[in-house]
Amino acid sequence: MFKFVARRILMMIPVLVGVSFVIFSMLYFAPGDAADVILGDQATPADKALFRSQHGLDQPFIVQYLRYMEGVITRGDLGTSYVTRQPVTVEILQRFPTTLKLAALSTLLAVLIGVSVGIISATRQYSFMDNLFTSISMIGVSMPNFWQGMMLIIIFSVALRWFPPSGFSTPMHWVLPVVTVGTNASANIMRMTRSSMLEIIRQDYIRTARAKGQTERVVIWKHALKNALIPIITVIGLSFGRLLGGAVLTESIFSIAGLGKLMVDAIKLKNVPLVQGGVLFIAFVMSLVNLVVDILYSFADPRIRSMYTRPRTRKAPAREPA
Amino acid sequence: MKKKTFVMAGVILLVLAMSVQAADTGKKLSDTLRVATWEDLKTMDPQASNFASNWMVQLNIFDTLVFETQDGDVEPRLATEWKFMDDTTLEMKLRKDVVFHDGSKFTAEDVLFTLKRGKANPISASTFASFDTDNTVIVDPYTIRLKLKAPYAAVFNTLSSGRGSIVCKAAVEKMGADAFARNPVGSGPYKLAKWLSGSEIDLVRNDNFWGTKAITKNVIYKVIPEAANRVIELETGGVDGVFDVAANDVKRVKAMKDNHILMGDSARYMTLTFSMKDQLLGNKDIRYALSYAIDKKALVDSVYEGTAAVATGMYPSTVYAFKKEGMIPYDPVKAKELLAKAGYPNGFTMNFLIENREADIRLAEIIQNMWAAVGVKVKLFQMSASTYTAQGNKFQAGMRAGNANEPSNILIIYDSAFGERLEPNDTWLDKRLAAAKTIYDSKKRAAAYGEIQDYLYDVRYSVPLAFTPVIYALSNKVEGWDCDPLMMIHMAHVSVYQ
Repeated sequence: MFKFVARRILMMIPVLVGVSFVIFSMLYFAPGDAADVILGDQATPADKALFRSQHGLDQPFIVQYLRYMEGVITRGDLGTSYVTRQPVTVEILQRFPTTLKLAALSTLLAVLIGVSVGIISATRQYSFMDNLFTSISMIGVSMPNFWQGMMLIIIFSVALRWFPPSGFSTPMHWVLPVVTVGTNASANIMRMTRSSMLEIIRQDYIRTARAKGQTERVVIWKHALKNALIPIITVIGLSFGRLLGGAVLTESIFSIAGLGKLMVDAIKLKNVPLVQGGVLFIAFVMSLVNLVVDILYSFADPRIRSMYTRPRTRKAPAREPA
Repeated sequence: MKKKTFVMAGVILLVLAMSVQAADTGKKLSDTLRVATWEDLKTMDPQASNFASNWMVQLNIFDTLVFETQDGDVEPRLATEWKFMDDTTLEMKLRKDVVFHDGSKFTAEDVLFTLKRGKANPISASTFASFDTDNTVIVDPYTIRLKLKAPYAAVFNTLSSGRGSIVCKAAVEKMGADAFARNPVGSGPYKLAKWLSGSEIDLVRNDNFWGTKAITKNVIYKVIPEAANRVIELETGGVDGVFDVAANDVKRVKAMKDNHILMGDSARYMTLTFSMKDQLLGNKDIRYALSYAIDKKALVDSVYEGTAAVATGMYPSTVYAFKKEGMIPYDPVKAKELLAKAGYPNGFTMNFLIENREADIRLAEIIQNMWAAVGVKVKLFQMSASTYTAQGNKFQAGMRAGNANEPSNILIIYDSAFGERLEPNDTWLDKRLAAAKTIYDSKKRAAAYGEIQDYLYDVRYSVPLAFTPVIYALSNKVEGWDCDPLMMIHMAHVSVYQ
């Protein structure tokens, strides 16, 4: 298992180097540079030249890139934001807790809704409840986040005055954004749970479980759900990873200072170090989430676990029934 | 039963207490003022700032040497008196009782240090270009002789602008410029208490302030980028004041019982610019034709929903020496005649480049239709700010959104040295622009700018479109909020009742 994790972490290095190169070239070859944007159009060419030389923007492409990578590798330094003059690492880490909180709470809500509703739909296929939940989830998938967010603000902030409309400081502030992101993500989880469960419920071993007189609850939650879990974990992992990159629209609607908003602002201002650092960070987080998902597979499915464990330890469970 | 009596007694007591208080003070001051702004500060370093959103907060933390009022009067701040020794030497006497937030005393060293760092930072360098810091002399700790490279009429405007905020030399040298940008040390009526990146800036009263101390102890700036959400935050009681209200929210706020709109003339304007490098637009008849083909009244009313005024001059009416030229008439028949005279009776196709901001897009799309009516087809290009400024002068028409209160800064786009966007290379104009900067006499200077405005109106390198207002939304509990055209609100004078 350790070997597997170590190998996966090593494999992240070429991915991150690739990502950094692609992003750096895209930003470099796009028209306009930070000097144009940050100094504005009242600046004289001399001002711009001064800014460019202060930030090494007058160097050739490859020199700029290697200098950047040197900082990243030797000092773990992602550079300094052109706009705020703060280290990029500091800027990102200031915003990340908010994004993490939003992503984690939303995913939790999405799992709670998605898995339970998915199971209900699957066990009562084509019933009224199933049709109702399936159509609600269709609406959930197709409803744009920003629209849902605005509707929630209009109803629960403006009309009812239950929750504050913007910010993310207190638990009261968390409710509306988490519901916005969570319900949207839950639709996918629900659909995946339903289809995966439907497939499993038709298997012979479920019939066997029922035949031996097992209660329906144990059949569904223990025998069926456990076997249906792999695709569900995949969907949850993907959605969580995506949210860790920042939910830009939701962050904008609720004025949340998260990673998504930080990145969009940085792109607008051509703040290369921040965009670069942010993308690298998101790629890193995404790889980590993928790794965790893979490890979770092995908990859900002993067959996968056996692939990573050595034969010596694999013998142990085999001895048990004897 | 017993419980009920108890509650009743409590209610009666409460009512009594409230009536006593009402009779006593009338209204009770709150110790916290919460306002909503549209974006976070990029930096707290005044010489590294070029956004109104930055100076708007910084002006409460820092002081300037002087303060130029809207009427052009210069009031003392950190400088108590001043006189010109000659055209390029300005001697200023400084206050002796000023202490920075970190406890160090304010002296002439801080002034020279501030000017020097302004010149060294590309974000401020062109603003301080006329200052000669090498030959500026500190006569004694409270007297400084500012040297100018040439006579510079906007000297007081620059010194009282955000970039002219005096920083504490000791603090900058101790912590370094990058750390200073997050931990500002000034001498203003407020100190920075807390800064949550991207969401909130908290200021607390500076009890050692040399002047009248701030009325409200705490000021909280909440960062809410969406205009509609700022108004919702006011409506739901989350803030007491809102900066930069969108035109389409004005009606909504006016309908609210507890809040109101504060709207006034601003220093903001929208101008259509023509590239003079382009052969087609080099023809004055074509420029006139294009300007006649736009129905400015209909355009401005529909885009700004009745809040903005049609431009009647080359720069905003709130700015010094504004000359009213009148609205450029809407005359499509004449436009067609002029096009025919220029040799294009069937019109032509041209490029029009705009930034992807809502107002710009709406203005441009309507103009596109109006020009199509006289036969001129327009290819519209939308670009982000970075691409916009980077493309130089490749496209034929553009749109400029400005926000400035000094004519020499506004008119810089017509200067050949400036380059981008218009590039008229007009030697007559260059000479006049340079000369106007050096006239100290207010009347003569106004006349010089009047002449320049007449010329610009006639030559029509640009078509001024709209003067947009500054719009605030305030709770009825707020008092002392001026309708500043540049949104530079001094929070020390603002009070809020509970």
